[in-house]
Amino acid sequence: MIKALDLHQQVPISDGELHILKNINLSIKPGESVAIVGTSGSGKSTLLGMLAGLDIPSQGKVYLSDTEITELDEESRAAVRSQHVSFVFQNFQLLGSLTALENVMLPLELKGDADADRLARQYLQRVGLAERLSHYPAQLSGGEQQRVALARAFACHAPIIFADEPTGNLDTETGDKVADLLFDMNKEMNTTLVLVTHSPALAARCERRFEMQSGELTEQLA
Amino acid sequence: MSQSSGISNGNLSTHTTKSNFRLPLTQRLLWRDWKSGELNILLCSLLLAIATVTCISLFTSRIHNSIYEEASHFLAADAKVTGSLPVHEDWTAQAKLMGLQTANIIRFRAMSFSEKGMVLTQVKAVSKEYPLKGQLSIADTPYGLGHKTGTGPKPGEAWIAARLFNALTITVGDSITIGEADFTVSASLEKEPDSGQSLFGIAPRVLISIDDIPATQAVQAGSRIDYDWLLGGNAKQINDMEVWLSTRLGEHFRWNGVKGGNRSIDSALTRAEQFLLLTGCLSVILSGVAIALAARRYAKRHHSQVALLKTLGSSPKDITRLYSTSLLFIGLISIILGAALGWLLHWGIIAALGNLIPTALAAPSWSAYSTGAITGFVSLWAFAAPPIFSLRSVSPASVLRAGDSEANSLGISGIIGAVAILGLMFFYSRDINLSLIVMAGAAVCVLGVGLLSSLLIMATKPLSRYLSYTWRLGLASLKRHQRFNTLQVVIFSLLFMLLFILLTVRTSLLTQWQNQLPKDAPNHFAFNIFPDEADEIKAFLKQQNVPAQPFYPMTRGRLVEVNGESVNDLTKDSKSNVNYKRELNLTWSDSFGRDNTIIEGKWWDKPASEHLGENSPLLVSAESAYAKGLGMVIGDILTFSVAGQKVEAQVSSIRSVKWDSMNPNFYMIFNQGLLGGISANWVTSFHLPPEKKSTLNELSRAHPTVSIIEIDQTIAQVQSIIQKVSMAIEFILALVLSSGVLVLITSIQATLDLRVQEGAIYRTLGAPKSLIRLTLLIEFVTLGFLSGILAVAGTELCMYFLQTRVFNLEYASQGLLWIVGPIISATLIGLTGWLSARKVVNTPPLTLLRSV
Repeated sequence: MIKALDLHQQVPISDGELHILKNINLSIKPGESVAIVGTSGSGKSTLLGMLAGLDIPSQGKVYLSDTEITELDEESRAAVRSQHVSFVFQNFQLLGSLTALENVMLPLELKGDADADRLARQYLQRVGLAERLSHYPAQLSGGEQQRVALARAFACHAPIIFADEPTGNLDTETGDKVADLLFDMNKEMNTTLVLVTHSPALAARCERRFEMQSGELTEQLA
Repeated sequence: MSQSSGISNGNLSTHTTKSNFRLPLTQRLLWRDWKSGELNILLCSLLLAIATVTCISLFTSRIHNSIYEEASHFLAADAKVTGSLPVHEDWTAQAKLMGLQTANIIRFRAMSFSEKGMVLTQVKAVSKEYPLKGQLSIADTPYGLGHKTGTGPKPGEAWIAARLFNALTITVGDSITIGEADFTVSASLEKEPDSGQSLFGIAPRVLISIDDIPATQAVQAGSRIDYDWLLGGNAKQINDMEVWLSTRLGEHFRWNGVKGGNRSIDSALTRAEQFLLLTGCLSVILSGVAIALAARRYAKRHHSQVALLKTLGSSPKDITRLYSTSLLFIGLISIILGAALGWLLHWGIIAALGNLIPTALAAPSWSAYSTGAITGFVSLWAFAAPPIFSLRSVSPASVLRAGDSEANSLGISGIIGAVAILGLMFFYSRDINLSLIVMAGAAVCVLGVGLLSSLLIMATKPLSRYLSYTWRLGLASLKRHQRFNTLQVVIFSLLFMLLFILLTVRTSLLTQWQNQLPKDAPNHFAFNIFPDEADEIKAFLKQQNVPAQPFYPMTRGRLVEVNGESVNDLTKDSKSNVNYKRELNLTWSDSFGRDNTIIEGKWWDKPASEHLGENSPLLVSAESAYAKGLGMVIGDILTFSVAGQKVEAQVSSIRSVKWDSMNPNFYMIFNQGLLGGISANWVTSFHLPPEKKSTLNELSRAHPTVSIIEIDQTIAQVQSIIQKVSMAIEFILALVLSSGVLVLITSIQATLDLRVQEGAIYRTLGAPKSLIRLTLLIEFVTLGFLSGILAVAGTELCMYFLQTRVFNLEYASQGLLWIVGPIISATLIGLTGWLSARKVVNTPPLTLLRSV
């Protein structure tokens, strides 16, 4: 389902080049849950961005279901994201000017889904926020905001969920609850989950674990 | 819930032809932006731009039309065609077709006889439509209380100049004879609207009906007759007629518009027009800066939204479409509201002026309504669109990297903005010269100021080691945000430069106008004074306590050759406005008037009186415009025809003359009397206050052959126009100044986020409010001071070109501005910045950190 071949990412700096990703090779099957762990600055989020088609590598190829997305232009990659990929971010990334309901409806409306309102309500109910539909992000706690983000990610029925430190901005108790919800919904919907995290406990809940160190990826075998 | 779609069985769908955005979502995002205040600054800037330009356009258009309306009284029409022949019939038909009003005047010199005397008079026969503009003033007795009338005398009647009553020894009701016709004198002619155009050489006026011309038999083949064809209509009709006639006038006819009818009015109108256009241009730049800043801030704050939308599948095209739709909405709302606001604002100004406006203002031209809307529309796409459209290139991966928010390209936005500003200025002023000077000044300032402000900000570093902790913190903040502060200094400098230019131009224009017509400016001219009468008249005026200007000898003559080449040949292809065929008033003098300046050659040393009777060479000083049209240079030999004799003189100097000063001035001044001073009459001017008007009767009685021209009403008319123009300038200046202050606030607001963020961090770290307050004050005051210095430098540069190339005024360095400018700038920016930044101090740090 997701395949990375010989990925490299370099950026120019004042005294040469910074090698962020070095020769990454990775293959993820449909429905798998995969954790990428590593220290800050090791290149985890950069890799996530490459795999999701948010950015293109300096070198190498990324395939999503046999289609090489690294060959596509930005317009086509946007179409891919619209149909097949969802995200959960560390800092929630909700639009402050929209209510919880409207934030969940947003990707559905972008796809032209006429049923956006019903689906959004349904998923917000699923994450336990049926009573907070008309609240704005600033009126919600961090845990609630992340639950809205989960509802948004799953409501559009994308087969792949990319989660970047989904509990990183939350306290342990709230983080655990959000993680439970994430894994439960992932199982219910049989989505492929690619999770970037610092937390060994969260990583342990995934079927496969990879470690990033100075731009290099190593699979941690159970 | 179950998985409803998957990609495991086939390739990904990447079709992108259908837009993802539906209008309701766009509207919703826009509505929420509006509700959350995100749109406030952009919308306010656009509203401000459109309202200001609409208001200025409407106001200036009305003032312009009113001034022209009043100035048209000097012609008694909106335009006129003068010639030595009656106008062709097809011209009359064309005027009728174009819906123009017309009137006819025939002018000629003739002897007027009464039973007891005869005088050479200037007869003016007018059709019943005369005057098309302005009114005649007549009285029942000479120099009596005049009353206004909109038509000329009836057939068989004559209205005559007050001084003719004495000269012909008649009273109202008596008869005079002109040619073969008798007329009953039914009134004393006090004032004609179009009398102020030629001050010398005219005999006393007799006004009759044009229907009486055949009876006089004065118009015969070979008679020297002048024909005026007056035209009345709106600006477009007049302009169309001028264009239509331009190829038909030939050498026998001349077109005369409102401008050019009177030199004082002409010069005041031209300069006022230039000022209003300059103001309009500067307000366009101010608006552009405000819109660009607001749009930049809007784009920056939308950066993360766009990145998120992209992760959710929006393509760059979708983003462009989303923001195009938003911009269209914003534009439409701003144009409608801004135009309405501008319209209300201009009425507010008119209401505020109240009694200050002497007469009701004329209606604005139609184009004034559209100027604001067009400016708004162009501003929206040229200033607001580039930073907002640059959002399409925001990387979706930036959602993963905090602080990665640079999406705007200053270079491309700058180029588009500059082209739009130039285009708008030209659209507004239709004056490429003015547009280019302002644009070049702004460009030099932006580039120079950018460089200088970087150096100045860097120079504050070595200074800081001698300063207190708070000052060091303030200056360090200045240095830390060097790029951002340089941009802000550029904007502040530009803003203050524009405001200083307006203030300086306004001051020099008003001063120049006040000097042009001082309260005691001569308002009467006496000429045809015989040499033996001059001393008596001097004594008479002295006795009446009326200070007279110098007495000049004057004789009539025509320039016929330059270096032996005929003037007719020399001027065959000339584009000069000077009429070289007409007779000139020639004088000789020891000195030249205070409003004359020698620009080439030198004035003679010996007094003119010492030249009389000698065989020394005859020298002449020529007026510069007259000389230029003939290509005259120092040393040229000019041949004049004076009283049938040829007189040769060598050009010894060329003078510039301020024709709008209302003083007696001459194209040619000689160093000695022509033909030994024979046939010369003398001319003088004096200021007569209204309460001494009766002095004229005594003077006229004692010296019946002396011609007196009263230009007090003309001067009053000029002063009224200048007063109106001055007032308009003051009010428009106030309007632009207030919009400038709003731009200042906008530009500070646009860069406030960074300061808010830093202030929050300082406060989180325990910095007291007073420290942050003082640090911000130091930062803004320093920025203001640097901007002030640079703005004054920019002002000096632009003023040099504006004064010398546009306003035709003398350039003077703005000495005081070098001190006052930086102080004003530091105070205003310091105060505005400090007030705007209160949020940093008064809001809890956590709220601040969450809000940015």
